[in-house]
Amino acid sequence: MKTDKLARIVSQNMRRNMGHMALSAIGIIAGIAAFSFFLALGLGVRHWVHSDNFLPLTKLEVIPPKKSLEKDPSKLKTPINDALVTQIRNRKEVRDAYPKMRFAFPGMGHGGKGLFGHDIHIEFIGDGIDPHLVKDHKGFSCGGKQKDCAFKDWWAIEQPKHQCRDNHDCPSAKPCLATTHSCAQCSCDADCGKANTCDPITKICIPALKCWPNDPYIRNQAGKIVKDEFGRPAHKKGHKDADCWRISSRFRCDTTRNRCTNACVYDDQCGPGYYCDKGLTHTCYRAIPALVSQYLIELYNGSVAPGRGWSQIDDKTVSQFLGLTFTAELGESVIGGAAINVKSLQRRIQLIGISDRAIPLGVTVPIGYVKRWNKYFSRKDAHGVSLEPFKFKHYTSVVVWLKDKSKVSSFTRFIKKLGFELSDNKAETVGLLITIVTILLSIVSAFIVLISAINISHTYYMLISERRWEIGVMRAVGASRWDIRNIILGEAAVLGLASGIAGLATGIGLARLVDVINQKWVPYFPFKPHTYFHFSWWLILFSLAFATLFCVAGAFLPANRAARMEPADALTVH
Amino acid sequence: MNKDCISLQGINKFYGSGQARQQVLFDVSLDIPCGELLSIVGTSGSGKSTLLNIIGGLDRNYEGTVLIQNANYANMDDAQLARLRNENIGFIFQAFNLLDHLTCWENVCLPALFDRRHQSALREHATEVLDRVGLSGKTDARPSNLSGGQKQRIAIARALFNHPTIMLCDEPTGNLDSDTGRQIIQLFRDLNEHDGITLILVTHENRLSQVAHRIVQIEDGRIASEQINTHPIRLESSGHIDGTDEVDQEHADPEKNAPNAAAPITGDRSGHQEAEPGSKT
Ligand SMILES: Nc1ncnc2c1ncn2[C@@H]1O[C@H](COP(=O)(O)OP(=O)(O)OP(=O)(O)O)[C@@H](O)[C@H]1O
Ligand SMILES: [Mg+2]
Repeated sequence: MKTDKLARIVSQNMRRNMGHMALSAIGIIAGIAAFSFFLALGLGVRHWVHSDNFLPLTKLEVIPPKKSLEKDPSKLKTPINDALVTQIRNRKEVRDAYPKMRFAFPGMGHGGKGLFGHDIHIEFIGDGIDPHLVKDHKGFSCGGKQKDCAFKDWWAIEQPKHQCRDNHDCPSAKPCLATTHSCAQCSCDADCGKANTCDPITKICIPALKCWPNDPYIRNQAGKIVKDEFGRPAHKKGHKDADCWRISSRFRCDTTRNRCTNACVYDDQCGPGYYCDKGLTHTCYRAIPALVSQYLIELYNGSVAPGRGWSQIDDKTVSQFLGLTFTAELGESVIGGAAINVKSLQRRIQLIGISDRAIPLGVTVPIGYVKRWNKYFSRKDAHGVSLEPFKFKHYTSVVVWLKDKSKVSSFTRFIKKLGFELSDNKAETVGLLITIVTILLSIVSAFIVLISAINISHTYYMLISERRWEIGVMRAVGASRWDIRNIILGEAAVLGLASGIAGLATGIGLARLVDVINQKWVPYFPFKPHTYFHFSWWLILFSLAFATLFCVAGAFLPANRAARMEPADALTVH
Repeated sequence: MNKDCISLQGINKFYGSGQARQQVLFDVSLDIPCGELLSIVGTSGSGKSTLLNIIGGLDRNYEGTVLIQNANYANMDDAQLARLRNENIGFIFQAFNLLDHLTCWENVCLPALFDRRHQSALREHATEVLDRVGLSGKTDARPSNLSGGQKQRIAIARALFNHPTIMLCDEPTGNLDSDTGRQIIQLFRDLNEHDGITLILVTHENRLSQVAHRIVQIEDGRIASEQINTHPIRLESSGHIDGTDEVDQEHADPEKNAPNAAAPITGDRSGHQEAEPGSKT
């Protein structure tokens, strides 16, 4: 039988049995709708979880073996140190690897008056990461007009090189002077080389810079008045330090000498974004850039803000929130009881971004700060030599980016052989969970389709006994058994396909509805996805094939029975 | 006379199985030459329909041999048999068996849908055939809106669509009033005469069987008598039976002028038939 003729008979029959067909199709439609909906939900959530802005699969974290975590980290046989980081970085699977280091000292943070109306005091916990880890991150903001906002170890960049904490920091065994924390004091400009001067207060070499504290206009080093953006002479507006700030906010004008100095006693002497290290070096330093995680924001939005009537942080208000600073008292604790034998440090921390690379609870700063702080707070002997070098030489973990997902297993083998572990890959766990739930829901949907297929089968048995004589007529005018079977299976296939399309449309419609509800009614959270669903092409094809196949399968036995009938029998009874 | 179109040899037919097994045809043998108009008569339940179904290949559960144009049904598979029905045999039923969800012309060209041969302009051909059975203008009507006679004409058109060589008619007038019935029978006669279609006509009505060249009577599954009808009567469309030789001779095939005259059908049979005019299976 030719296809066009088959199609003709099938369409004739379908038109006639529209009611029956539509009724028996409802089950299939519902089944396919549920099936495609759940499968797309599973795929969509999986997609989202595996996307690089949620939990990238190619991002792994190498951690020390779990068994030894409880023990003294100094006894770790194979510590995570620079050598290991280099070894990992040289692997062919690895795109890049950067270490992380936890704070090995207590801390207390206070601040937030601008945001919360009054200062809050919390335990200051956090870690340090290599700035490279966030080099692709966009949207750092220090608030206001500050241009060079970046996640960098500013201290290492801006502080004079021979700044030291103990004798280890100084070259050729020069002592680290307790008063200035420099390796060796300079006594005159000649000690500092060309273009530098020995600052008389700090005894540190700094660039030799002039300032004109009594002049109302800002001048450059050549003594010329600087023009503002309108071409007029730039006014100091009462800031006598403005000549120095032009070069860097870490300088101020020493009015006795008309020279810029980095020495300070209180924060106001430092330029915008800079604060005075009052406890130790008495120099201006730039606020320490810090990142927080999305989880922290959610925690705040979910449980802190609502109870206290504070404003929530969302896409719009996040810009207000970024740039806020707070003070951290390093070496002190809200909980107390920490045995720290060195002076605590006061540092200004500035939140400049929200990042998935940040520690879930706490703040994340450039690793250089953490190394120095951990070193500073480590116990030392009488000569100032650290007794706990592992505190600033051993990393907590190494974040590794693999070139692609296929490299995961070989890299895992390599890491296990070295005696390390990979931190629980949340993506895999979550992904597995989602897969299981998706499979369960899909099985339920498949059952709906299966039951519908049985229903279809029943409907067809009915239809066929009703159309018994009709089949007899077709047989009499020349239909073979195969023709009859093909007609019935063809009808079933068309019915299945139509039901599949209707079911898919229902499923997609339902998904859209859920997405709209999600966008409108579900409260904002930073990684709220645009859609929870992913109707991949194979899902669509599979749903259609599934519906068609089940309909055809359901009609198979009735079709066979109809085909087996002797035409004479079919014609006699009706 | 041409060689045999249909040849039945020793047909036995059983229905049911085990205890309920019941024989309805007993050693039926019959040779039907091409171009013959054969009439089968018999009481209700005597096995006429059963026999016709076996001849038409609608029923394959029988013992014996059926040869259609020297081809043995036993050697044919289902597809070959279906093809034979499609291309060579036209069926007419008492109940018309039209598909009500299709229009007249769609019903008429139903055989074409199962025909492997290339066909085009189905509608045109269907209209032509409808013209021949006197139903021009009913192309797009629904069978349910037509009278019984018109319905049977559509069934005839459907049977004629693929130019069959054999037509098997099972009480085609059973559901029609006698006037319409006569017109339909006349139509069959014309088809037999003009187109040379071998025609088997199963009928209750004594008088209608008289149009045939030969009348076979079946009783309880056996051929009880066979009569050669030398003067097949002609049925006028008015419904009045015209038995005059003059009229008849014009239309009768000279070959069929057999020596014995038409024997009257027993009053017994005819009486039986009168008692059950509308009986059917
Ligand atoms: N499908 C069947 N199953 C069982 N017995 C059947 C079947 N069809 C017919 N019979 C029996 O076979 C016998 C012959 O039936 P058939 O229909 O051939 O008679 P008929 O001569 O056509 O009668 P009518 O003039 O009433 O149409 C009857 O006794 C009938 O009961
Ligand atoms: Mg009968």
